[in-house]
Amino acid sequence: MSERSGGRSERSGGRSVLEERYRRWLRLLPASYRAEREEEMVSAFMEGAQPGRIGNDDQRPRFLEIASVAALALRLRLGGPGSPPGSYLWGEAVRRAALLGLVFWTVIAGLYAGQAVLTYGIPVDALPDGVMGIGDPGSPDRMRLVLADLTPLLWVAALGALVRGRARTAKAAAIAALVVPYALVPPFTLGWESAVRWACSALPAVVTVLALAIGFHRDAPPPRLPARRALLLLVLPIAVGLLLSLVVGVLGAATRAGTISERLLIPVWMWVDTTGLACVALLAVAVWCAIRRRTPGRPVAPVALAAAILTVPVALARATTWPLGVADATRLAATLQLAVLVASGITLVVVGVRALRTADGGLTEVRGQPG
Amino acid sequence: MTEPAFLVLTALVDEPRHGYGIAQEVERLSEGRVQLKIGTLYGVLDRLAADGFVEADREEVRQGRLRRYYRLTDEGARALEEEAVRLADNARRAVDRLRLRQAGGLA
Repeated sequence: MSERSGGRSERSGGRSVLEERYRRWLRLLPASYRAEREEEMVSAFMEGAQPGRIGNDDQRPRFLEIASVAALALRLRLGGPGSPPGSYLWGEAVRRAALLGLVFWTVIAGLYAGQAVLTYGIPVDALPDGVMGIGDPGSPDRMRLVLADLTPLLWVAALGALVRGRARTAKAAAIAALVVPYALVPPFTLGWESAVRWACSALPAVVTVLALAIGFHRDAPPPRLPARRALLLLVLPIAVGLLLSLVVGVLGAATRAGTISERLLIPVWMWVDTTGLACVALLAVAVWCAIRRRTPGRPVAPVALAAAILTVPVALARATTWPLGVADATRLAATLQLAVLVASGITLVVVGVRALRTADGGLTEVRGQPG
Repeated sequence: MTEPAFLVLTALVDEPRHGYGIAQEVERLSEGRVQLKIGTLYGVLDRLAADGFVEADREEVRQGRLRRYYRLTDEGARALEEEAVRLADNARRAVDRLRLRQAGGLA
């Protein structure tokens, strides 16, 4: 009975199983924080524990308790201004991954919106060869498909909210941008293999939303940019997207006219789909980071690490949508893209890590971080 | 100031308390509406300590477990008072307007 009331057994050197379980979850917290707080946190957990049939040994930490520790761990490990340099750097890397991701998806939103205008005839017959979209004009199908092409504009709303300092709105808009297109046009999957392919192709957007969700928190709110700068951050990627939609339109016309040889058709299109464009964008960031790595006063480490984070889901998306049983040129394009992604990823990690080492504790030089 | 931070400061007004004691007092003060989980509580305590509103008071070992007590600082008391006055003003304005509405003044 005394064991029940005291909530302790002789297991684990006098610690109850429940205590051991709490300590295991507390390992999510940074070691320095644990050294300071673990004992009092365990004490608080154990005081609030309800003894079960055999004391605390048949009890488990409750879900909300674990969630609160996980949330605290994320806030500590992805710190805001004033946090220890290492945690601040990783926080900045994740926040910039969210920003870079949102800028990319804003480009894609511009591309899709431009394509919707061209494809669905607004104005009518905009394309030189009069191509029309799927579904009869005015039909529910047509409406659904046009909406699906326009929903990526929710990414623009997310980016707009973020650069104006509204993290919650940005997160809500980004989640909607991720989910709504699939609600309008459910993914077509045949068996688990195609389901895995679909899931991996969705990963780059999922990682952007995750980075946004965990990177910006109460201790690291997004800065509110001046209206003009914020507008520029929105207009530029949309303009790039619209230009890309023209390129895609021309490519589409050339394809239909048979100007591009059948052998090169898929390889060419592979560079203007989402994965191909992400590949080019990450290469551009890697080159930018490599060039700017020695520029004083503007540390590239957070940007390099942010882009390295984003490279992983894009490489996975490319690898799992590997073209099988197709022409050599298509496989070559896929191999080239994967090689570009791997090379960019390695470059970004090397630049990021070297920038950190060169700074030698100069992480405090990262802008916004008080020394 | 968030509601959990406000309640944690309020819980420390009368005496220093340790982690679980604060969580219990917050639950009592909010009549069971706010149940601070330990991870959340320590996040709030970290922020309040960083702002200088609370500080460690003493440590005790009870039944082999560490209890660290926290107390309200003068700065914390001032911040709490300002926030309480602000909230009370808002509540008073709301009540005044509701009375006017009931009396047909704003209808």
